[in-house]
Amino acid sequence: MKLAINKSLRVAALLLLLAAPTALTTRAQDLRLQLDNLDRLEAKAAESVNVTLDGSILRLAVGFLEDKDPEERAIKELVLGLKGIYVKVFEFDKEGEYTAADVETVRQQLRAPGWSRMVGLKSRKEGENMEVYTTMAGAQMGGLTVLTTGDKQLGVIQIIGTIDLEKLIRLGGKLGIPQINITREAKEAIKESKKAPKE
Amino acid sequence: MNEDYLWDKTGEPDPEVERLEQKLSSLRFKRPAEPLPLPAAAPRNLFRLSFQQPALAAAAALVFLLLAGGLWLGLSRRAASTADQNAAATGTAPEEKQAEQEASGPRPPLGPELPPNAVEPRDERVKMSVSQAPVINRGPRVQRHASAAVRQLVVRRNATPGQEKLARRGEEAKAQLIKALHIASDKLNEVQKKIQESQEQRPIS
Repeated sequence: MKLAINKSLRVAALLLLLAAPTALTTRAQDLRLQLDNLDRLEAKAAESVNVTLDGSILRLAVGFLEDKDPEERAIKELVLGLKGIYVKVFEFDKEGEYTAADVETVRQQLRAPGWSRMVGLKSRKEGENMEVYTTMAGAQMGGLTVLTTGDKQLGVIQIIGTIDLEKLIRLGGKLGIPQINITREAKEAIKESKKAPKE
Repeated sequence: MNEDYLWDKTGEPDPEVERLEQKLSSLRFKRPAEPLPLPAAAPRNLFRLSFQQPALAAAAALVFLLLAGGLWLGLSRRAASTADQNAAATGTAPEEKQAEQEASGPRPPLGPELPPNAVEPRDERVKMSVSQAPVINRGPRVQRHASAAVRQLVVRRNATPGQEKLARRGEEAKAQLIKALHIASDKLNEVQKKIQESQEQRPIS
């Protein structure tokens, strides 16, 4: 009896060892959203960005980042833990080019176990909604999805792998766009809104 | 001498042999043959023996995985390099010209011509994908470094068309990576900005 249990445990350990890499790959594939249904929107869009970087292409891109350049080094550090980056952004000339069903297919996938909604913002004035979903890999963030919908735009940005959110946000100021001083801008906006009624 | 008698005691006995037999008969071995001694535990099957301990099993599995991984990696690399060489062989001439230009002067843009640092114009139809891989909205710094990486490969006299193609693919992938991170960072900044705005606009009680 004891021998049989030992033997079963050994076989189980062996199978687990063999299955571990497969399981990791499968997890990364499971996290990836199926966005093929959005491809048809490319024809309607005034502008569209479609980026798919994973596996060997992502590693190739990382290999081309220069260590000497502090900005590229920062990108490299950020990207090293990543397994894939998928971006689909569409901007339209007029409203109603995409349907609620298009967005729902994305949201439905994000309701799967593992994903949780971190932020949900609705702006009636600007007619734009932003949702941020995350998934955890142990104590670290293992995936991030940003879903933005507006009257004339739709965007899904998905990053799979270990992400340092702070670093990613900080990159904004390093990639050719000025870093947003959120607090200052917000204060100025409030000041202006207070001045407006007096004038 | 009768040889049959010596062989199997048939035929006519030789008197000399008989005499010797009689003299030596007292020394004859009389006990029945003992059974062939066998070891108490028969040696086990080698496969079963090697998997007796979990550590051995784990080590064997690890070695197997490493070998399989190495084989797979080797085969995929070879396939990729063959594909690159085939692709390069079909359209080498224009690429070589481009590589020469790149080595000597500024590189012509891969995608639509946009002013450096400019945010993509809304009226211009721009579509990106890995297969098409036009690079847009690259700052001069990004372009310079990407070109430098290509130059490192193409300036070498012995660079093969496959290597040139790989360098170009790498440059395109890098540009796409920066573009993707740019968009992601931009959107997250926007989210953060809106959160902060909503917090600051909230009346202080």
